Amino acid sequence: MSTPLLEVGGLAVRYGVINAVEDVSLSVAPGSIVSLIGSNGAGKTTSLRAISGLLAPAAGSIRFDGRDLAGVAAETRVAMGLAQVPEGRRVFPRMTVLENLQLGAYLRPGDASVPEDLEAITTLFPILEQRRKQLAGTLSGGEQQMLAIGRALMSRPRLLLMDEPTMGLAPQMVELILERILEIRRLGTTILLVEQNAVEAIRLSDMVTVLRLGRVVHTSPGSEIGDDLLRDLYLGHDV
Amino acid sequence: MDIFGQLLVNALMLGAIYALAAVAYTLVYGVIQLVNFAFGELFMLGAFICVSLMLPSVALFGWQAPMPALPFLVALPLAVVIVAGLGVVVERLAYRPLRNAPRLAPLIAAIAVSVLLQSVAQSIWGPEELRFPRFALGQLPPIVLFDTIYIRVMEIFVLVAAIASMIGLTLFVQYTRMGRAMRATAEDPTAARLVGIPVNRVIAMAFLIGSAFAALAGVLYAQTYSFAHPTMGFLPGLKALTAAVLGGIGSIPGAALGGMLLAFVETFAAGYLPNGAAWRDAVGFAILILVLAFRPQGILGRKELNEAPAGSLVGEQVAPRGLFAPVDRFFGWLGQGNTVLNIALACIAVALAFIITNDYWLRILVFVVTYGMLASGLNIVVGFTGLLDLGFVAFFAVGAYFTSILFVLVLRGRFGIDPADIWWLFYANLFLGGALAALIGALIGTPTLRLRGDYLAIMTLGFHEIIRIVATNWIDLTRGPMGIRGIPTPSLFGMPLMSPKYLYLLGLALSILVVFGIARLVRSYVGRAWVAIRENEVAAEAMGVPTARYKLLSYATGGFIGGLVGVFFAHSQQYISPLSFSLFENILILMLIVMGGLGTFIGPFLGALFWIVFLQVAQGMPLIQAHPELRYAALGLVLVLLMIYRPQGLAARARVSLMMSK
Amino acid sequence: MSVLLETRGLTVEFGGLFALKAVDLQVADGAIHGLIGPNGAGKSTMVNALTGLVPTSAGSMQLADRPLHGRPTWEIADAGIARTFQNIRNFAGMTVLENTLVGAHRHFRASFAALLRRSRAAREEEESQRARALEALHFVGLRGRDEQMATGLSYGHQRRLEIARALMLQPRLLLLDEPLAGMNAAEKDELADIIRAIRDRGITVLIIEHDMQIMRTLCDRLSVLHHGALLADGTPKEVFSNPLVQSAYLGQAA
Repeated sequence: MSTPLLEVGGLAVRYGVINAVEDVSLSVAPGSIVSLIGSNGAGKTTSLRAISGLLAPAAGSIRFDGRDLAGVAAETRVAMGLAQVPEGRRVFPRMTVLENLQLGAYLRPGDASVPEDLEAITTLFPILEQRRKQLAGTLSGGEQQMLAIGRALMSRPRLLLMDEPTMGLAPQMVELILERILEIRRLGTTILLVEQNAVEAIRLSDMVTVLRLGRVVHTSPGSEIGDDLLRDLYLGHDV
Repeated sequence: MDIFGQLLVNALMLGAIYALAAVAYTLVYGVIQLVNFAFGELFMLGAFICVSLMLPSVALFGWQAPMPALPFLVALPLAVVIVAGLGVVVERLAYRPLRNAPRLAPLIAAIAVSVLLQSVAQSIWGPEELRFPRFALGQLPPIVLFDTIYIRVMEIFVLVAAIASMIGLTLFVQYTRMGRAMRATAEDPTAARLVGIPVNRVIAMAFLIGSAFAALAGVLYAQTYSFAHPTMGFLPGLKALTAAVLGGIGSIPGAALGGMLLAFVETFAAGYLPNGAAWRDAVGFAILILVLAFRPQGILGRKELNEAPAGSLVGEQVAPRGLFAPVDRFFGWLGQGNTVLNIALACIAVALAFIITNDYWLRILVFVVTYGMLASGLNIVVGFTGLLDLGFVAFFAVGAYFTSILFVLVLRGRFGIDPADIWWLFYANLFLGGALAALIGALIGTPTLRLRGDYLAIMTLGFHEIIRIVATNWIDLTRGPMGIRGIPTPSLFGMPLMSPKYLYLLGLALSILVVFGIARLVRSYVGRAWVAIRENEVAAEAMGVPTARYKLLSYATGGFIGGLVGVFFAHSQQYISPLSFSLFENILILMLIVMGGLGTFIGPFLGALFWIVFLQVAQGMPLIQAHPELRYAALGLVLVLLMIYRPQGLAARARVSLMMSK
Repeated sequence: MSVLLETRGLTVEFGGLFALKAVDLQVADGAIHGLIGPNGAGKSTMVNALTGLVPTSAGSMQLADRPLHGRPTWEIADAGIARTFQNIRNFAGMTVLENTLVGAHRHFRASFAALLRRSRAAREEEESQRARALEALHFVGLRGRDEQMATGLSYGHQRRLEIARALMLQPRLLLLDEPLAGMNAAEKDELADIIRAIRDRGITVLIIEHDMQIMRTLCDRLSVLHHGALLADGTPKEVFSNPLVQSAYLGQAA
């Protein structure tokens, strides 16, 4: 087995007096897709925000490419190759699609390969090319999601953190986004995916980590997770 | 037609300057939603630095210092660069530590920084005007158009400089990497961090550019009116803020539009209205109030920018550390609301009247109780209800003018009644003056109901300025800047309470009544509704508190106390003039409460006592004798430090119970 | 059983996006009614719309035949709808007892003059509400904590304080927005018991919650929101066996 690109050990995050996440460990091998699943409030987004540096962990370690990330600012993590597609997309609504994408490459000033990457992203999501002059706030939900992914890719990340990329999208759009996630991995980017859409996430992933109430309750390759476990996690036991 | 052309030129000139300064407010507000009141002072510093650089020598701290006597076109950019750097330093030291604090904290820090900078400038350059030196460009003969319009070459320069800077800034924000980063940070700071934008650097950049624009505006203003003065930034600063709000704060074209619009309305009002020059500022502020009431997002602004949450400054109790621990315990003990202790405190306060035999110090104590009461009234609005009110002194003015006009101008002046015959009217007026102020409070409160935080502060400030301008200019009613003399001292059954001792005792009696009244309201469902609004307005509303009604009630109650104190003040001083009711007084009172402890009963009096005793004690210091304004600088500095290290004020432990005592 | 709360075609729109699409919801008097659905389905928007915190663009709502749509939030509270918040919104600078008493605001009648005089009626009113508040705190398990500052409470206790405060309104309907979030299993069971006791006091409960384990046994009826529209409605058994609901949650092709 190769050394993991991301390794999280014993992570704990607290909001005031609440333990949002406790003793979460997971590892992401280079070139893989790992999913973090679990019901609402299980601590998925919190874990992701700690990894990207938006939240300071109360305990535990996060290592990216062998380097300890403790005390490293979110901006610096982006420079190291860790990009996040945030929950709810959060594109810059009053800036054009093109400007949003350019901002994704903020840390690559003067890099000659930026136009090349722009082209690669518009190949991945052709609709963004058509909409390049349009304000991001006027895009549909699915298009905004593509833009958010494109923007994150513009930093040329080695690891892409994706927080609920299919939330609130129509079924065809969900299909398309999931398909593109596979494509992004094929092009060489490792992916840590947080999804509510558990069945699809499992189908896509090499490894799945299940969170419940802020703790890891299960880690295995996706194929080993049965329907029963899933239903249990989301809908509770039958009476 | 004769003056129209000239007014047009004047309006363009003023509009260009307002627009430049408005950019400063709009840029910083757009990025971090802070109204940086200190831009008025950076504007002033720009003027002073430019003038100093152009002179061969200038008096600094009273010493004649050699200066490079640079030409205008070199001094101007140099001054702009220096002030821009200063703006970044201010941001780093005073605002960045408050980035995650409740919104009231940076706002109060900004007011304190503004007081600090103004006082320091006065220490450096002295309280006199510094004339703008003659320079070659300014001496060129004017261009005459249509025989009636005179345009100086410098006026063309001002306009060109303003237009060029605005275009430059627009291009910068639109097309450069940093400009994009600024817009991104303004829209969503979290998402900006996630694409790798160093948000702190972007904010520093906004302050850098904003301060440069303020300085440029200041230099051009000083050049137009040929002087620099420590208080010169105050009114243009307010105007620029008005222009920014008018155009839609956060929008650069909005700042330009707002600045021009305001300048045109003011200039033409001054030119065509009867006695227009006196009322021009009132017209500007009236427009501000109308815009805030009906379209708070301004002409080009976006609505959601103004939906900032209210913030409680008092919120959490922080465990006292180090030096503060014993102070804390003491004030906690003092303010615990124990009846025996309260009576003991009152007895000590009464005893002071007999222990202190020196009239001078007794007069000082009259000031302490006056300020203490006034601060207690403002404390209802700011401390308990959490609404930042910068117009409170207007209520004080209403009470003072009401009783003075009635006694001096109407009863004695028109009907020839001897005040001694109607001594009881003073006591009735305490109530009537209060009631009148309360009514006005509720009236001017109504349009502010939809606004929050900083917008509310701007609106109340506008109201205050209008009342001050009325007091200064409606000479038939108020005798204008001359003020009203010969207001009778209070008396009891015909016995005048002339001596400071009796005035102090009367003031003390009123203070006890005021605190008692406030305490009874605060320790009931009314006080709980007020504090609930301060802590979380949405939750208060969801618990069935009609928040709009209780905010008005808070204004009216605070206004009542302000009016009452105004009546007492007028009769105890026997003279009032608009100078007693300046905005600076309001800022001072606010700072006193914040220092003493917002939302406590004891805090306002504590702040007043500390400040007024400090003023007196400091008079003995040689440094203060040379530079009396440094006392205000000290207050500003203390306030900034308190905001950073102890936003709850000195008496934080004296938290008031909101339960009716059994 | 009679209907207490009824919405017809309730619609909430944010700049062209529909957060709620023509929702017809009926909550029976005396029931514990659950509102479930995946993230972003519009549950919190529903509660905010019901309490007037989010403007509705179409539709109507009524509480026991009294129309309430378009009314300000405090008036809806006064009419008998109390609520808690997903992100706890206690009053940080107040004690537990003071927090609770804010919920009793609508029961106070004393005038300013009466308060300044501290009239007998004012004192009695304060005393009786204080007694009610202590009783409410006891009821939610916060006995003896009334003098503590609200911020000093543990997370679970802060949730309970919010419920006590809402109960002080004496509402007909109590809206609970994720009251169990972030709690351990034992705490959840305790709180579920409290919710049942609230129902037994005659207060109808509308609850949003993600823990289906608890919702199965707690709720008399469930409504499922998906993409802002009502997807299903019925007893927990009916709802959980509905394939539409399963696919909404697990993401299988319907």
